[in-house]
Amino acid sequence: MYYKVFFLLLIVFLSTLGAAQKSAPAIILASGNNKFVFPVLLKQFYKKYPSSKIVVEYGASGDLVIAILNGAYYDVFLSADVEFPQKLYDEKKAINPPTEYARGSLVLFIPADSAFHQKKLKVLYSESIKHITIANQESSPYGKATIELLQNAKLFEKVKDKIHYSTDISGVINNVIWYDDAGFVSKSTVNSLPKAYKKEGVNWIEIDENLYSPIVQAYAVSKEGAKNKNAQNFLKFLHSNEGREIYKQYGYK
Amino acid sequence: MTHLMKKKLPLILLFSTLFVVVYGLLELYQEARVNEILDEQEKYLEISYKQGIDRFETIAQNIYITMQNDTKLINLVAGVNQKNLKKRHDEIYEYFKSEYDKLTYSGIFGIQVVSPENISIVRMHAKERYGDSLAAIRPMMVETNIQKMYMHGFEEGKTSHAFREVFPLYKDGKYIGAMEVLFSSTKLQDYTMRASDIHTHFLVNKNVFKTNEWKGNIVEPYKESVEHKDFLFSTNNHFEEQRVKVCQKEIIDPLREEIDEGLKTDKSFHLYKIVNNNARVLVFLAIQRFSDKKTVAYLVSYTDVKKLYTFIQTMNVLKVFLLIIIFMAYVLVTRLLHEKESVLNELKYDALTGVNTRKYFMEIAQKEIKQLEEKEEPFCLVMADIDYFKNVNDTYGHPYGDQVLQDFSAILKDSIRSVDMVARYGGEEFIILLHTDIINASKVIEKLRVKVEEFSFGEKEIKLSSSFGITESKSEEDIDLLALISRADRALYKAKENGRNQIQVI
Repeated sequence: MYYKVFFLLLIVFLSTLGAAQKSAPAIILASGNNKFVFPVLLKQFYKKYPSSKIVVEYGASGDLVIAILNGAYYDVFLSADVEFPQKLYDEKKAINPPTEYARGSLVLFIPADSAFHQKKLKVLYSESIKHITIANQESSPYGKATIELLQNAKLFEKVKDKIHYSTDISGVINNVIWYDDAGFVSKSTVNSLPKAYKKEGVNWIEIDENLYSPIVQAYAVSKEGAKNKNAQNFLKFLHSNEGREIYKQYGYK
Repeated sequence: MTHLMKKKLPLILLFSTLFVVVYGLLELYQEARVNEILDEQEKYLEISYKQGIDRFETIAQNIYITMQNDTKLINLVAGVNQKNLKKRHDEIYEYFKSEYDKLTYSGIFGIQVVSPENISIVRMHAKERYGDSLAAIRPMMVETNIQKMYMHGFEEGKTSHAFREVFPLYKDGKYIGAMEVLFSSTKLQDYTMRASDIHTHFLVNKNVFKTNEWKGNIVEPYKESVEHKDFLFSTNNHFEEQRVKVCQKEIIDPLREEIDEGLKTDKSFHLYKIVNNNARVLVFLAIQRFSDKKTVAYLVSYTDVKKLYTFIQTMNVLKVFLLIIIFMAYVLVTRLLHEKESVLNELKYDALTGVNTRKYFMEIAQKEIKQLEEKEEPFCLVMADIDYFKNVNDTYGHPYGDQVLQDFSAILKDSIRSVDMVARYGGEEFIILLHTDIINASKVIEKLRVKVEEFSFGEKEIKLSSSFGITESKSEEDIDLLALISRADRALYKAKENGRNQIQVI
């Protein structure tokens, strides 16, 4: 609970930075899965727009929306779904309807198993896997998609006792590497795995996309964001071929 | 009272001994069982520790294999010398930095690569403060450069300590140096707590740090251990001031001496303390450093063991129960003995007069006579009778008569020696066995007769006289008691005939 209060305070603090000036730094609130693609994205962005200033804060999409509805300042909000930015639009906290910027996909990360590519989701039955970590379905669209896929694969009932919720990706990776847990994460997370744990088909597999509704990630722009030059430059870059290509490299479609 | 104590003392001693023996056995059993349970806890911690070390090994091996298979990295490491060191270091750093970040993200404490000539090529560890400064080479890496094989163990650094996994690196079959993967003791604590659910402290002897630089370690800060002032523990993650304070007050302070003793041994040890209806077991698992195999650290576990608590409680109840049982047995035995004694006394002594019974007299006298005959020692048998006793009963009533009998018996008893014997033969008739010849016997009985004559019997102080018939053993045939009695009886009859208050000898 404390971290949420802290989080709100932080966002309110950021808001003071973002007085609606054209040259003020753009305040970008981004869903957790963006954490791995953003460092690369911003590096390229600054090459193209050297004088720009961007401040990024990450969080679960649901938590970020609550913060915004509670008065937190933002220029651009990059969600992991369409519903959350739609909500901002409905509440008149965004000037345009949700705009898609990427499509995410889910991977299952497990302790190394050389037959993983054959067993696929069946590994979850394995007795050696005691816990399965997934993102919280209320605050994270990835969590929602995970529950959906487990239900569609008729696995949910069988493995539900093993399920634990966490949005802390570092925690999930640590739990898999150290304690032989399994975890459903965004494909972009694979890039944060050390080489020793990165082998497709051994350490992770991509989940059949027919098992869950597409994770369409959309963004919303605030009234202030529409006037902020830095924010506009960022959005321009996001839509550019270069921007799209970076997302693609990180497992987005 | 002292007489009573004398009689009871052997019994008390017997039962005390019994209690001490049984209690001792229970104590021995308790000690053995408690040790067994404590050993079990030590085993658990040891297993958990080994699992943690195995996990370090597995992870380090995975990293090693990827590094060994990374041709670019291997090419950069191969052939480093003092000249190209700076350039290679920067290249490796640039190439490996993002991978290193991912590794620290996954719980790795640090990585170092050294050349076969013990030149530190790159050291990535706690970069927030120490960057990748090329620190001194640790003994384990020097050893790997000599042996060219995998080594692992615990070793302190200048500012911190770590579990180290060192692997030999090769390029095209040629040895090119060693790489070390470090894991923090905090990670080991994490592991034992998460994988085995055992609460642990990791203590390291502060004297192992060669400098005081550990004081500035902000990545994994140390604090003086509450277990012992010579030890430090890392305050990362699991440190809760309040919890430690409670633990110190409830457990560590009361066990202080035992802990100090245990730490002196440099070996693993265990102890326990009963707290809040539970037994808190402390296990100190000794951890030796790689270089000299000296114990420099301990993994300490705190576990509540209900089983131990229940066992100790049961034993305490059993001990109290034992005390009660033995006390009850003591009471029972004394009572039985007392009862037996009163039954024997009833057989032995006449209830009214306190002199021996006729039955007992006959039994003992028969044996004694036989012995006296064999030894050819003289003895006399006397029959005594109170004159006109019937009149006492008729005049003063039977209770008064009883009183007279008691007085008469008392005079008889007082007049003979302890070797002699007197018994009530029936009614007012008494029988006496005197271990002496007829001359002495006559003197004794005459004195007795006079004493009776002069005595005032009962409350009414009436005057009475008595008659005596004495006979001496004369020949071997006289071992027949009944014959002797009959002769003494005849003498008594004669005394009566002759006017009473006299002695007659046959």
